[in-house]
Amino acid sequence: MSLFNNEKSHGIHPPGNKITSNKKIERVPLPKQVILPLSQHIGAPSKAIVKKGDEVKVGQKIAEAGGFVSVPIHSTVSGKVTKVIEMVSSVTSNIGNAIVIEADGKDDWVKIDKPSNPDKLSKKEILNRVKEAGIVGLGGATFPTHVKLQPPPDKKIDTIIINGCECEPFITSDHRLMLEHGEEILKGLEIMMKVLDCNEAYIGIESNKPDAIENMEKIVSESNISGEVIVESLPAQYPMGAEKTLLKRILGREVPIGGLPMDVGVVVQNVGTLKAIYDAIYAGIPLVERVLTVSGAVKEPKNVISRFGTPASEIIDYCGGTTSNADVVIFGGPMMGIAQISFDTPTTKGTNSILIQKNNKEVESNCIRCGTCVENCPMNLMPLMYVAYVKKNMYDELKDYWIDNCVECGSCSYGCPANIPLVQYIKVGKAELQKRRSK
Amino acid sequence: MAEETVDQKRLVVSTSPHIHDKKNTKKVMYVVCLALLLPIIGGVYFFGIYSLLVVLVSVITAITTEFLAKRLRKREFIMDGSAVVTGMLFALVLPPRIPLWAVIIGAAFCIAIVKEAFGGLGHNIFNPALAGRAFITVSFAGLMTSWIAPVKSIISLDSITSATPLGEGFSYGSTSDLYIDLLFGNVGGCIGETSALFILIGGLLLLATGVIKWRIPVVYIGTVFLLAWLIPGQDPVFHILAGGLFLGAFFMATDYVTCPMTAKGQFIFAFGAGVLVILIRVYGSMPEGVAFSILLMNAFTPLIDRHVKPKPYGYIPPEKKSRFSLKKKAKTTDVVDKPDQDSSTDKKEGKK
Repeated sequence: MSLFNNEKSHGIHPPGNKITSNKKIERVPLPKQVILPLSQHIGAPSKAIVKKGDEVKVGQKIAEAGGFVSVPIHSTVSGKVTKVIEMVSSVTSNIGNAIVIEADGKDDWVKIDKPSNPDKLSKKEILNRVKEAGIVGLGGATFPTHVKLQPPPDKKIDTIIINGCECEPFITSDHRLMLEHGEEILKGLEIMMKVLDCNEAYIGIESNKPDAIENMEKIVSESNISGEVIVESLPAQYPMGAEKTLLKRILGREVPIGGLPMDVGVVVQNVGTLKAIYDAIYAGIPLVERVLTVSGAVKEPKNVISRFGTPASEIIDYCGGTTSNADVVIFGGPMMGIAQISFDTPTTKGTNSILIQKNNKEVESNCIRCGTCVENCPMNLMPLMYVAYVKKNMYDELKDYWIDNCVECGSCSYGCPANIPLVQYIKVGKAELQKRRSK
Repeated sequence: MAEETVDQKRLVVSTSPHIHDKKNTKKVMYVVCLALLLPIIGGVYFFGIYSLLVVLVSVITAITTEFLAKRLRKREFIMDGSAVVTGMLFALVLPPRIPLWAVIIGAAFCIAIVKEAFGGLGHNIFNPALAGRAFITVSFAGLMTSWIAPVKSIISLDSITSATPLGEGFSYGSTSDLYIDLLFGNVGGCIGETSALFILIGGLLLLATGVIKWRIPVVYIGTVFLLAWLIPGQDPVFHILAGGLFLGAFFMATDYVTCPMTAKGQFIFAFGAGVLVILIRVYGSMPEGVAFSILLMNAFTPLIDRHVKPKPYGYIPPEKKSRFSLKKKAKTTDVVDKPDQDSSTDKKEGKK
């Protein structure tokens, strides 16, 4: 009912389809071969430090950070580097290098550098360990975590928001993490609060996961964490898990256009990232695997934990294979995920879900100016104007409508009665503007 | 890529999102058609079976004209229901005993000139049905002002000339005697505009299915009511029930294509239309002003849409913005070492 659709409720309510929410996380058998792209994160690609023929072990660094906004990459299997290939990135569709490692099946770990007293580590040591563990934001955006943990001195962080919303349909990996690894998540939060000198934290969870809310509340109340940690139940509405929407919902602050949450004194971090921080600090284990949801048109939808670089087909086979007519493979959720060109695309740090679907896109028709996109836009933009201007090649006008503020959440395309792929037009517009700026 | 596997199926690759709301243009149009059946039933009940003939002729002409226009423009003809809606609406704003040749000319004008000449669905500036009515009004003024009283039986072709309540309403001693008749539609007027109740039910159906928003009908009718209440000697209840205000407010002013897209814009649009209705009815030479009020505001819609934009998330008024951009520049130099990659960084950060 849209009788009183006021400004506060911008967003959409796609069917949740969280069919895997009560399936325990299972471990996928080790892959025979992994393909590890050098650019699995946002920022400069990593630089390879192994060459063809080298023997590597699990957790061994095979590429080092290529700059400040960059992280190292570790081998996820033990075996031999067979080749360095060029491949299309599963996220940006740019061509980049990738290291191919043939697994020997032994799963030998490199010597783990476990800190003797994790609670006594200095801030600098923690930051260094987070960076060396190759940790990036595991919500899907893969922004290097150590960068987020050291804001410039003029930005004082007063609040940390933990993102456990998981507003994308189908995905349940964060949900399962909160149920099965809640303690580790809270420990990870403790480390973050220490590094950022911050006493206030919120854990935002959508109300469609009451068991996760209950579990986290229990863990928080039983812990002796210093500082205030509040578990916040949020309405189940897409895109609640977009950091800017989440921030506004919890704190009522708005990040300035073109700014980052740190501009308003906030750092937003995904629950998966906290688990990774915990692993790196308390166990010394680098980021080599993650939880992902396999769902949609597969025989047995599951939550699995798998090493990075595993071809999607192996994970799908573990889940019983696809149903017969599926022809879309998406890394990520149905709203923002990226359709892959092959079943064999290797997973990367940002792959929180493998979703199999039947293509159901319809042909675009004329815009009837119904205003659904304007109504749905969580950033209060007018998405239809982007389509109009991109169609006419009037790219400079896009800035008058704040195109850079768009988070590409897809709420506009989702509701469009004319089936216009608005996000596609927006991406074209942004890419063209980027090209003009760099000229 | 990895080695070729046995299962080398062709995958479909497209931009996100990969799911879609079930709503589409066709469904929206047919829901409107369904809602319009109510005023049509009212029209047939009060003015006889001839009204149904007018509706059918209008709809068939509209579809045929659209088909021919698409042929001429070398575009694909899609039966999306928009021509049906235009045809129905046009018939509903005609007097009950309008000759069929005038219906055909009007409906063809609606589609060919008002809609297709501007580029088809989504590109027209004016509401096709109302512009068609305006065209017929100025071309055949005599036809458009001959009203009949409601008939005794549906199959009757009687035409006892009568005036519309708005045409002579002001000469009544008290307009309040008319309320019940106006509500049910037992008065003279256009085929579909007399029964406020039928239109209201149809309008509520549109609201309930989410096809239209409450803003335009409520503000439009509310403005007319308030202004009529403020002007001495006018009866506000009579003003909102009489004439085509309900039909206009629920079915015409809310036309997606010709009304503003933003909430703020819709408020301005509806308020402006409400003011115009009262100006025309009370101070103008015509008894009824709904059609022209909407058409005039249609002309303002592009202007409203251009200047009334929603305030985006995180918007900082210009003077503060310059200070912010300085800060931002200082920050980017020491944090980001790869400027060409950083814009995508900011945007997708933290998204799931």
